[in-house]
Amino acid sequence: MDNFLSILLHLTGTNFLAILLMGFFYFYIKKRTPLPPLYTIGKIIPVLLVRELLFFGIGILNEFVIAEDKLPVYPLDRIVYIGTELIIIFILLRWYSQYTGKKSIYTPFIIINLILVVMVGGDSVFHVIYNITFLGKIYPTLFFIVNYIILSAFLYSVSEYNTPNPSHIMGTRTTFVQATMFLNVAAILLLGAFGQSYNTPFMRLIYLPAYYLLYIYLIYSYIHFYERAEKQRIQYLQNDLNSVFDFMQNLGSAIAEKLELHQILNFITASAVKSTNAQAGSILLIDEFDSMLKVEAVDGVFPPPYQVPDRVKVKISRLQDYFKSQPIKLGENIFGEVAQSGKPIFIKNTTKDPRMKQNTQNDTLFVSSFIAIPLLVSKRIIGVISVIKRERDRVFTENDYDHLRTFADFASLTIDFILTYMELIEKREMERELGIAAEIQQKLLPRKLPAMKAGTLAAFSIPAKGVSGDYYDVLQFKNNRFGMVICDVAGKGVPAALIMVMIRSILHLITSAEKNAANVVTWINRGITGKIDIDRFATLSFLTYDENTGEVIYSNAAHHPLLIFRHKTATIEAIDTEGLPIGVERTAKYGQKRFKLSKGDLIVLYTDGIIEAMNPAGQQYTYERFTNLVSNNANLPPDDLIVKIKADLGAFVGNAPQHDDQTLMLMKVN
Amino acid sequence: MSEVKLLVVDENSKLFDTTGMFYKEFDSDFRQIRYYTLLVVQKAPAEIKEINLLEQQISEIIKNAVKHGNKCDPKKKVKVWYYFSVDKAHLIVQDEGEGFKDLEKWNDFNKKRINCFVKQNFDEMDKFVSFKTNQSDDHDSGNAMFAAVEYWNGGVVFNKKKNGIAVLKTFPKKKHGLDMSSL
Repeated sequence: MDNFLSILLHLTGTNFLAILLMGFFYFYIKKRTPLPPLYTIGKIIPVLLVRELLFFGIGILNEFVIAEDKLPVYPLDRIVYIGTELIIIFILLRWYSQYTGKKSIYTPFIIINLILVVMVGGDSVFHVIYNITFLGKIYPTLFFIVNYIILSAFLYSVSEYNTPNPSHIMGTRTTFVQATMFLNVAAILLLGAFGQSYNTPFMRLIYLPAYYLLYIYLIYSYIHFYERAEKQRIQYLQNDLNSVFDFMQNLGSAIAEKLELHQILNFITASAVKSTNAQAGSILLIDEFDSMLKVEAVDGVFPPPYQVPDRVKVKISRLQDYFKSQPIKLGENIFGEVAQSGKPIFIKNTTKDPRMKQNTQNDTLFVSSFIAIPLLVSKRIIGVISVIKRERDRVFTENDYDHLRTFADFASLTIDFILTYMELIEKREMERELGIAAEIQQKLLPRKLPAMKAGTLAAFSIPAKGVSGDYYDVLQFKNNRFGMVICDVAGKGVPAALIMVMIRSILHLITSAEKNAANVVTWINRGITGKIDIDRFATLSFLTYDENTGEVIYSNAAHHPLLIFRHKTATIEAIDTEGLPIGVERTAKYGQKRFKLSKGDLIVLYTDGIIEAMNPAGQQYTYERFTNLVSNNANLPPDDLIVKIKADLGAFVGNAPQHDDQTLMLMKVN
Repeated sequence: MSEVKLLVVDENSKLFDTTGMFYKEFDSDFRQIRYYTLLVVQKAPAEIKEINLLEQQISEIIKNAVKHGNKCDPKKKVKVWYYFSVDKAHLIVQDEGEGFKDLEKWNDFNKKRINCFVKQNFDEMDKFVSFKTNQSDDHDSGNAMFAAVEYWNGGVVFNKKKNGIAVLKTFPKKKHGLDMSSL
């Protein structure tokens, strides 16, 4: 009966209670903190359960089945304890390796414990050591102490720089080491000096449950660290948010000051360095022309993460110049890899990655930890942002990496926005300049042609988009005399428009005193040639017409010859005078011709844009087609003739874009 | 630079196809070369950034036609076909001269020049700085075509008579970023 009670006591005792408690915590915490290392620790529970059941079985065997004199010399409970304890040690090792990722940690344990197993195995047959009173009882415990000392050394090697999420190990290791040492030293005393064995009520009801409390502590602490990690995560997100917000605010004011890409890239790089506690950072962008990565911003000393010539290594400044000046092909070196794959690269410890081999020596190239994130906008890669650490034993944490990834998302959008905006501005500026030129040109053209007593004037000028080089004008002098000018300035945009303004000013200024056509052209040429730094040229025809006498005085600076449709003969005459284009030679001489117009005669002045107008097939309108049209319709009033010419030009050109200004001026003698 | 670019003679080259090109005829007046050049270049779209370089290269080719081709003979004309877009510049210049007789000599000369550069033999290279013939005068730098073969990346081709030259330059399209699906 006593025996039965004692067995019952064993079954309901603190040992089982402790295991029950452990199981309860395990399942409770597992639900809230689903972490793989916790599952590993949980495997201790079935091992302990098996151990207790075996102890119980051995107890029954010893009490009821085996006669006292037949009891084995080497107790079974010791074998059970040693076996289960070894399993537990290996579970703890597995737990540790889950954190550190280290795989080759088992060797010392296997060697030590093989010796232990051989000793115990040999002892249970030959009883050599067991019979040495004190040592025989405690030597397995000594082996366990060695096991735990090595394990402790492992645990104490863990730091935030070599292990992700090390807080659980770092938080529990002190308690763990102290408790295992205390309990094993206690075991030496209890087993060696106080005659206890593992299956005695004291050991099973007091000592072992105390041991199990340690595992309960390990399991229970998970919830604590999980919550703390959660809090840190929230704190980190908050910091992330704050830093992005700060970044936005500063960037906003940087942009407001001046939209200068490099300044903004430098600012982004500096922000990335600051927020990841890095030593240096850089931004590489894909070049807008040749699809190569080019270093656009560097903060701090950033050694290239690839092989460099030896001569470059000797000085930091050379290294920096080299880094900034070397374009990188996609797929070439680690930056090219990031850009080509669009995937980030995080090399926590450079000594463990062959790609960083050149950066691990103790020289100017040294980098201890490296992160490179692609700058992506939707599916377009615009560059790479990278940060490095350059201190021994200092590496980036997972948090730094996560932070830079968030940051890179934001940075890519910002850079893309600025690039797009700058392209837009550039385009706008170009269009604006052309717009200004077109506006100047339009303002120079006469709004209304003067009325003649015995003649009719008509003109049109259609500017081509972005060209604006044609100019015509009619000046009215005293005594029914008129001056007519047509001019085609080479070049385009504001410079061409300026030439036009100059020509017009000179013309208006001198014709008040000087009416001689050749002299007028000569003066214009002198005024333009060599006056401004850039070469500017124009062809120009100038003529004066006296209504009283019908006399025309004409001078030409290499413009298309003047056409006269003679009413009498119904033919077209082309009249030219000697002379270079305006702007070629300051001393150029210009000839002039005098002739009379009769009733019904028509004079025609035009620019390149008319006869060189091109249809979609690439054919030109031609001089012939133009003069035929004029001859065949010369009886029409000038306004109607212009409508006719415009219509024919339009029909010929079709939907081909107009590439040059088209200007035409007609005067018919009534 | 190490790849030796040559002047090619190929009457049937695609570069001589004048379809859709603008056309102008100029007098062989040396004084007006800059003006002619400007007349041609004004057709270039504003998007072309290095317009001055383009202008200079076109000017050299017209200058060769006026000076070395037509020997500035006022009776002889220079015909120019030209076409520009945002991504290319295409030019054909033909004179009424005897043609570039020393073309092969020039190719040979350029090959030697580049070999010196590849071997970093700058003493030797000194002899190949300037290509001169007995027709050259002191105003000829003798190196315009070295630059031309580098600049006109779409080719420099002569007609059979070697008095017509067709050149093509392609401009890279400006863009920021690359489509990942193209990689």
